[in-house]
Amino acid sequence: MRWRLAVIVVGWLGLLAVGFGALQRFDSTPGSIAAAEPRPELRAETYRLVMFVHPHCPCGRAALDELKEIVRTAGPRLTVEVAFVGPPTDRELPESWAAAERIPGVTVRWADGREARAAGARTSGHVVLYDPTGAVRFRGGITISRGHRGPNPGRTAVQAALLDEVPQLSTAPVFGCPLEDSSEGEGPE
Amino acid sequence: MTAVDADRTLAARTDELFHEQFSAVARRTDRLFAALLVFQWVAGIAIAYWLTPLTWAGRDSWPHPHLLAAVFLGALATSLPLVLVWLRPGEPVTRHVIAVAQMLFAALLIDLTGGRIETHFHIFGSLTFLAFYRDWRVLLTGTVVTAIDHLLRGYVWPESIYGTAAAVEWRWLEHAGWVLFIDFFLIRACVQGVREMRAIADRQARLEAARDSIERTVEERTADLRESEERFRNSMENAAIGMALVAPDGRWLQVNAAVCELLGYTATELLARTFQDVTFPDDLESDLDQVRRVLAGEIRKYEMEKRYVCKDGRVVWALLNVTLVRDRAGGPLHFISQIQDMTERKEAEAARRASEERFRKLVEHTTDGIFLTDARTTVILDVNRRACESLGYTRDELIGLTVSDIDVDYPREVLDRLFPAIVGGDVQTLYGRHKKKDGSLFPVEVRPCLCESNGQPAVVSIVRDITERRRAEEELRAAAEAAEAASRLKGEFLANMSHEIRTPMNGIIGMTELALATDLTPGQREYLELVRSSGEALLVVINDVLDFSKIEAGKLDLDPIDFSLRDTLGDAMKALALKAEDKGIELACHIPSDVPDGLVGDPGRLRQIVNNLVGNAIKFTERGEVVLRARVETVAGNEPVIRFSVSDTGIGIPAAKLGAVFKPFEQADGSTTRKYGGTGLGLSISTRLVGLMGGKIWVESELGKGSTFHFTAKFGTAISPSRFVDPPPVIGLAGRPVLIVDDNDTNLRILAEMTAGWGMVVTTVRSGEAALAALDAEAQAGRPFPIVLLDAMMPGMDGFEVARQVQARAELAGMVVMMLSSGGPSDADKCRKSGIDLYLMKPVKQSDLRRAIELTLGARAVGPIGPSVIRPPAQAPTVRPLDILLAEDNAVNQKLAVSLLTKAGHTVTVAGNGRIAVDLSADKAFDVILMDIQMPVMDGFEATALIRGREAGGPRTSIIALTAHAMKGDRERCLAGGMDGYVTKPIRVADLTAEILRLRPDAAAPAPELQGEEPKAEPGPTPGEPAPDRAAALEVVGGDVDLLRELVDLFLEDCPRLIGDLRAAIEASDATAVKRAAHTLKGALQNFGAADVAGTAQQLETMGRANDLAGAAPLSVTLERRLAALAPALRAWAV
Repeated sequence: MRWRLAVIVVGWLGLLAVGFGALQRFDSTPGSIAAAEPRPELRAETYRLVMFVHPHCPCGRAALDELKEIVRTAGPRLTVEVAFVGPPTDRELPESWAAAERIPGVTVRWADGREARAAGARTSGHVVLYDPTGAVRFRGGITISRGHRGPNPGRTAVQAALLDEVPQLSTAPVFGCPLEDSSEGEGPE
Repeated sequence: MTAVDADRTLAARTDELFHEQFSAVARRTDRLFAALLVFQWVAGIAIAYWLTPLTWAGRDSWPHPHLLAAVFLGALATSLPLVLVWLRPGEPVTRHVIAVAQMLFAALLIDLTGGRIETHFHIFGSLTFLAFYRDWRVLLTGTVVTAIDHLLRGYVWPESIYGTAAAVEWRWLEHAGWVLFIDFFLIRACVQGVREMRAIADRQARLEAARDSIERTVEERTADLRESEERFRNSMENAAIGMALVAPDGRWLQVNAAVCELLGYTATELLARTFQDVTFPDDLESDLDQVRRVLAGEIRKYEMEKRYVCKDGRVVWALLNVTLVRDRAGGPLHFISQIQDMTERKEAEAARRASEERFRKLVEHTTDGIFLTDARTTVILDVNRRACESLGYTRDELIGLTVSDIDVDYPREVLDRLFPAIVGGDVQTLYGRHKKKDGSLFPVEVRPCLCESNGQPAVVSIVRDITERRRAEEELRAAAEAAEAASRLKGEFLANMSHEIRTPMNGIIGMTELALATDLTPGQREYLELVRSSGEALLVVINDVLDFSKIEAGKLDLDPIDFSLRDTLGDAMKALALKAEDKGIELACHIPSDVPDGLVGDPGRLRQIVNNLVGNAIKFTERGEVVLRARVETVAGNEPVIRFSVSDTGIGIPAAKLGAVFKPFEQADGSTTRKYGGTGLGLSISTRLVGLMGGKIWVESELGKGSTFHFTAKFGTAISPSRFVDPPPVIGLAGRPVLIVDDNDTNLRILAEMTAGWGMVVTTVRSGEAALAALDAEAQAGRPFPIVLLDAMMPGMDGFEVARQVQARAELAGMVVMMLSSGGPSDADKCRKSGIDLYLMKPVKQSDLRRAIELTLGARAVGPIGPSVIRPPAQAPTVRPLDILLAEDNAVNQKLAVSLLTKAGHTVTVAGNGRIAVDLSADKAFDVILMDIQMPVMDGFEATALIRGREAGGPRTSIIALTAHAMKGDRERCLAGGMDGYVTKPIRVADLTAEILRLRPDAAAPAPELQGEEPKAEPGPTPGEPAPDRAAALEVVGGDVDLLRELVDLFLEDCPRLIGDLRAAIEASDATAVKRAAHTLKGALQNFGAADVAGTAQQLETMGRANDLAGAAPLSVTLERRLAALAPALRAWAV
């Protein structure tokens, strides 16, 4: 009886371990990033950071929180745009729109799929940092995993670039929902 | 239990309580966590749904993996703890699994909230909740799970738990430090909690031990109390007397069964009442007064006799004892009442008082004087009023006197001797004389008995003045002597009357018989016959009257001897047979074989009863039959009780008269005496005789159909019964066929029973025609009957005709024909002429019939014999001529006796008195001396004594007493006086002959030839014509030729008139007249032995009796023709 109970307990623990493993695996699996580097922008007075966000992705809140931290440390040297990617026919303001607008100095706007694709963004939370010269200094995610806040290599690289330092990384994995569905070009425009 | 044992028990109980409490806490906490886990699971789902409901790909979306993890991983983490809480609550494994699940839930929630540091507080909360178990090991499990989780995550994916991917080591230590910090306090709290819990358990165990001890003590005290109460209740309930607890205000508080039983109430009913409710009103005030005194403290208890009123209204007496019980403060609590039923005692006292009062009145008012005296001093202690009155003293004067002072016959010295006997109860009655105060004396009867007075022995004497009784006794004695003298005189008168009446009757009858023996004219003969029959009738009347007188005088006694019942009854019936035949009725006697024959009794008196009953039956029967039956009623030892029944088909007796017929001088109808004659004493005498025989007599009768008289009689068994057994058979009868022919069913049955009892094979038929048919049938079958018993008189073909038909048939030759008839002597001749072998008078005796059958069949067995006749046994025996001395003083009797004796061939010498007889007998030796008893000069007794004295040692002369005395004892007196025999007057030749033969068997004359007697040769009639039988006719008239001649003359003279009467009666169809005329003719013709012609007349008589005259006319013509043929022969006799 006792060993049977022990087997049951062990089995139960095993199933829990598998479950937690699967959850762990999901959370730590990043989205895809376009292989080609986006085109440089025109020269500007400040650094310009554009974040592409899926209007309904729950991981967007963690990304906006990290963006908010970057904005706080960057000061006026940085111009930030948050682009919610979606087709013009379906542009109801998402829940996170207000959160984005509450970040000081951030421009919130809609973007279509072509712009996102042009910027190399395929996953929600993807940021592209342009320096005043219009060169891309960083592209990728600024969260450590899905929906997780806290220090992460992407945010550190952006903050370093904004300090005119050479960031250790020019890109970082993006954790979020795909901006477009599997049929290329049929994502939110 | 020792102190060590108590400590061990206490420790064990403490452990038990602790574990119970610990387990209860664990189960309670299990249930808390079960709810918490479910809540967390739902909350996790809600959080995931809120934060990450969907995951998107462009416009596509689906449930977010975090939501799925919250649902399924949360369900998995919750499932096993719930199962264990359900199946194994309170067990360590359950709480450890719960700890694991709870900590994993913390990890899940942290993960779902994106590693928010705030979520880590869930871990501390969980540990705190786990501390509810008070099991520090559970905290360790939770801590270990958390540590492992953090360690693994720290190494593999630190940002999931620490929010950053850097500084893995210190963050792990920081988290572990916080957890251990919490654990330190929680574990300390758990240990402290367990310690307190154990302390509580210890206190509870001690409390329990103390409570158990108290409870045991309480139980013991309670049991003692209950036992005490039970004893009290039982004692009270089962007390023999009533017991009750009564409140001061009178309410019954408790009552026992005796009280309920006494008052008739149930306990419930009584408890709803007060004692005042059931107290008899007259006794209530006194009872309440006592109660008040007790309550006031004047008395502590009281006792009284009082009455209660029962539920049913009865009033009962009781002895009441009441005690008051007070409380500690002295206040009254209740009364204890003891109620003892004394109703019976009160009733007994009342009864005793009533009895004493009655006794006192009885003593005071009795007509006898009553004295109470001291048993030792005889001093009078008390007297009643009567004693004072009889003696003339006052009561005070008598008290103090002694018995000797008032009884002159019992002086002190006599009383001193007598009193011990009185005290001992040996003396019951004393007689003495009391002396009154005035000195006069009177006789007294004293009945003393011992008693007690004030504890001393005393004598109560009932004294009766017997002056009047003495006088009455004297008068009674004188009256008794007078009555005795009168009785003696009556006896003597009866004896004298018997003598004085019989003596002249002797002369009348005897001389009439002598006169009838002389030549007389028919008229003279008729007159003399009337004289004789009247004399005979008068003698019967006189005998009845004398018997009745003897009954009245108490002098009728029985004379028991050995006798044959069948012979006695047979002889009695034969004597009545002719009378029955005259009336044309059947007479039968039926005695079954089981009735004993040799008995001890008085055959004469038995015959007298039978004669009376059968004679009456014949007298009152006009047609049909009279049957005497005897059977054994009971047998007690050697004393059989025989029941006799005489049934007839006569006129019967009205029911109202059945009882009267047994009373003297009464017959069923007053006119009966006039019509049938008789004194009316016969049945009364028979009743008395039956009573003497130890039996009873009664009658059953139906008017018009007949009567049956029954009587029983007790007999002894003869000492030598072999005397009465039939002689050995000449031949065996068993198996021999016999045909019995009789139209009368009773006779047929009797004869059939008799012959069947001898083993014969019996065939019965009821007519002549049937008899011939049966005979022919058996003869043709080769089994001819060897013997046939024929009834002479039968309707249609009579017995004689059957016999003639048998004679005429060659195939029936050799068969014995036996005729049974009551037709009188004339039938004998007819038997001879009809070829009949044997002739028996009915009713036939069983012994006669058997002897006759054996004789006939035996004779046939040795050779053919001629026609034979067995005459009726009534045939008188004869005596050879004897030399007789007659001692008789009466001249008429002398002449009568001499005539009868000389006619019988004897030589007679007459002596006028006893003296002469003595002298004559001295001179000459006589064969017999007939000695009258009452004679002048010397009576018969004295003469006999002298003769016997003279004969002493020599030859003895037979002396037969002649006496008109018919009193009981005469015979004994005569025999005691030396005489040998005894004959009563009037002298009957038959009686005298029988007595002589008894004394002198050698005097018997040679017996007459009965067999082979050939009829005397007479000029025979023409064959085929009827002829008279002169021999038979002479036999009828006793050989008196002259008388026969006169009879013939009378018949020839009267015959035309009778024929004329017959003819007229037939023409007038007057059956009675036909019967009467034919009967007269038949009787006359039978006298002349003209059986054939008489038979024809008989047929006509039968027709008349049957009231069937069909065929009478031609038969009368035949009769006339035959009479005409008979007349010449008769005229020849008259010449």
